[in-house]
Amino acid sequence: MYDFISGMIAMGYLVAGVFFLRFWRDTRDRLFAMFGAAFFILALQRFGLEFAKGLPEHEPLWYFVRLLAFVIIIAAIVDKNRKK
Amino acid sequence: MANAAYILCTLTSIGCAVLLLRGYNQSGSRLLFWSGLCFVGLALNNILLIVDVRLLPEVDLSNIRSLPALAGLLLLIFGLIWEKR
Amino acid sequence: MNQPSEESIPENVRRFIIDHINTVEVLEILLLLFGQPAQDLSAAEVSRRLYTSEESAAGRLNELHQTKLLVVTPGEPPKYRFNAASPDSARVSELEKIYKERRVSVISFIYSKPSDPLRAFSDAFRLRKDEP
Repeated sequence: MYDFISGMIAMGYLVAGVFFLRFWRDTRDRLFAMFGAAFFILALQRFGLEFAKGLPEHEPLWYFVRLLAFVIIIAAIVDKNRKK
Repeated sequence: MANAAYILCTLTSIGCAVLLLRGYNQSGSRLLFWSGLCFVGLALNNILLIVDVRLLPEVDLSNIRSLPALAGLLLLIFGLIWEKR
Repeated sequence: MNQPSEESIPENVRRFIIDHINTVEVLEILLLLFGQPAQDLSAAEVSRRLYTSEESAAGRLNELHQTKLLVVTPGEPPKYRFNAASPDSARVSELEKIYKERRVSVISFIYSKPSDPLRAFSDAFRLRKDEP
């Protein structure tokens, strides 16, 4: 059950990421590129957790990957608010 | 160290949810409504992750904590496809 | 960007403005026709009354017709009337009253909303709203 949910979530992140990339294409607003990257990384994290099932000591690494995604989102917000 | 990571993820999700829902309130743009809800789901996912790993380690909350994230993403994708752009 | 005066516009009127009113021109045309429910007006007549160009008036009249706020009598030229059967009549009436009382608030609200959802998404992450 968990695998099924996790797979759906990974797909969800991927699809959202593609939408964000499209928004970046349409608007050239860097915020969308960064959100897209973050969502792709969140998808990657789900993939990683799947493969880490054989190596449980690697699991924490993949949670730092999730952190990276959120750090990118923070960076996007900071970037949006910097005086140009 | 990992705690700091979990907390940062949680705070960021909450922050995004707040900003997007506030933006929805001000502009009425429905895309912000769906994305705001998505980040609420991600925030709940992060909070439940902390609960699962740190507060109730003997209980496995894997499925329960994933459900808000799934719900949030489904709502986001619905909004991205359904709303006019 | 949330100036105190904007808070005084009721939520349902704000929602109506967000959904239907992008410019002051649209608002004035709508209120002109709302105020004269018995008369059919053409784009030329509207443009004369409101000192706006005829093409612009024709475009806005057509838009308002597409959203069912106006009914059209087809012809050469087409004439428009406010749709009395519109479910939004009450809100238009309220909007008319508020526009008379708080003209500046309404105008500033119209122009403070981004019409583009992507712009709105991006702007939501601006923490200080006074920046461009």
